[in-house]
Amino acid sequence: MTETRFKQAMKNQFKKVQFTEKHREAIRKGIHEEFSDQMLLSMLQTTRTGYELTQLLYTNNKQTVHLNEGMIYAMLHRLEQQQLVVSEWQENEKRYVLSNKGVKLLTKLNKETQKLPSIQQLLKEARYAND
Amino acid sequence: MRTIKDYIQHVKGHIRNKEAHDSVEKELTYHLAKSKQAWQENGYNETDAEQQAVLEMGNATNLGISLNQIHQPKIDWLLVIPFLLAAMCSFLPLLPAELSLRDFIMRNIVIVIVGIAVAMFLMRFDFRKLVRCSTHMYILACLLFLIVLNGNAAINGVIFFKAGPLEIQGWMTLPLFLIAFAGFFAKQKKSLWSLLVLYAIGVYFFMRLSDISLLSTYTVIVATLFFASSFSRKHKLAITAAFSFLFVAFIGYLMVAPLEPYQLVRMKTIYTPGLEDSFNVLFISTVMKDLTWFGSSSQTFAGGAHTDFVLLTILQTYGIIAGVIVVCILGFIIYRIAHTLGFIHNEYARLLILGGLAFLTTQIVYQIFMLFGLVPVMSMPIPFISYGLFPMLLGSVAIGLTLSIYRRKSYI
Repeated sequence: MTETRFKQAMKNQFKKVQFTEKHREAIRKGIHEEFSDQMLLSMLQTTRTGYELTQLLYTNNKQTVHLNEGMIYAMLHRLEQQQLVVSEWQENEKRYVLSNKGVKLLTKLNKETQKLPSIQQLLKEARYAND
Repeated sequence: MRTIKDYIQHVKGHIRNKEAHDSVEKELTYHLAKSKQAWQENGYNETDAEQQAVLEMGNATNLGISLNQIHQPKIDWLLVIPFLLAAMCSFLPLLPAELSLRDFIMRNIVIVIVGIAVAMFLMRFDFRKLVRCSTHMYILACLLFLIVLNGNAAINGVIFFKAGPLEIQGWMTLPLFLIAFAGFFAKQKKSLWSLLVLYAIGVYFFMRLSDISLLSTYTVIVATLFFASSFSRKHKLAITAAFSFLFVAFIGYLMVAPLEPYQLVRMKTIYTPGLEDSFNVLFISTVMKDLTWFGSSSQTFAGGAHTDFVLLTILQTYGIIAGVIVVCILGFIIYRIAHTLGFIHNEYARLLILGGLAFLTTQIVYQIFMLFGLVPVMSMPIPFISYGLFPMLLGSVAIGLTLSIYRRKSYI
């Protein structure tokens, strides 16, 4: 009973809202947030070792790293080759941090992400459309 | 199940470039040891913890394949091609018939081949091995100097040692000094005073050789390495001030010193361009004024047409456009080496590149300034293009070291 009423309400609420491709993309991104360069770059704003990065990913509950810790090194070495991060050996640890080029790319990527509308915004739009 | 060792062995098995193995192994071992420790703290026994740590790493083959792709040795063709072009340009001043330099062409072919071979050898050679023999390089340079200074032959008053086809000349010590000082500054972290003494010994040798251009090249190399090294700004400022003071004091002393007139004239030439060798200066300025776009073959210039005044010869015979192209090739080489510097963060590698860059730039810029009469006429050959083993070899050492570092940039 409640369910049908809820569905009804949603239908009415979203009747006048245009659900564009942009919204779709934003939601898709929100649902399966894959392990992307952007994520790794944003974690490298302070110097970290590969091991610290995997631990950080576990605490953030990213499942991609589970049983696949090695791939972080492939990514780090690739990013280093693209000059987006720089590394330094300290004793036995190899520590990585963003390079200037990496900082620039990260800001650009973050800006693009911000442009994508969030779900909150979608709800807001729905409210305004009904008013 | 596999152990940490097996896992790393498996990953390394997929990486074809053997030189990258060490750094990959070190990094993965560190990760796995940490991971194992964490599992042990969670109550696993040692074997189980190790297995778990390896399991968490995922597929070794996949990792090995991706790392192999990343660590393939790379050749900087944008540096190799201008280098080859510049080497080819060394034939240009030998071709005009008026200069009767045709005998030199065969010898130049050999020189170019030797230069390319040296650059290729150095590219394949792992420059990291050089750091261990910095001290040996320095001692070898000093020994060479002792041989040279007791030499049995001389050209233009510069002495050298000759035994059959073997010639040992003062300039051969320059690459040795470059490698030695790069090691001293980057790895051995010698104190300022010992470095000054080491530098002064070199200065003494070059003074005894009485070859100003070598002495200034040597000084430029050491000074560049010093400024790029990790010494504090205070130290750098202090040394700069001390050397400027010494220089000014020396000039000041010459002003008041009771010198013979001919000595005075010679000394004045150091800071008054054009005073020293009026014949050369006059010649350069007439040729520079009469340059045409596509060149003419009217005048001949016997002394140093293919060595010290090689750029002038090219400008005169092949025209301004050809000259500009040659300068552009050299400029591109310098740009490319500086570009490599931009993404190398290993201090030793940086210093090696910088030292090479310093003397290439000095020699090229000096030559160009000399043509415009901005600096005194001095025997300062252009790398690659001037005839002779010295310009070719020094240039190819710089190129070879840069290529060697570029090739290994992904794991140094």
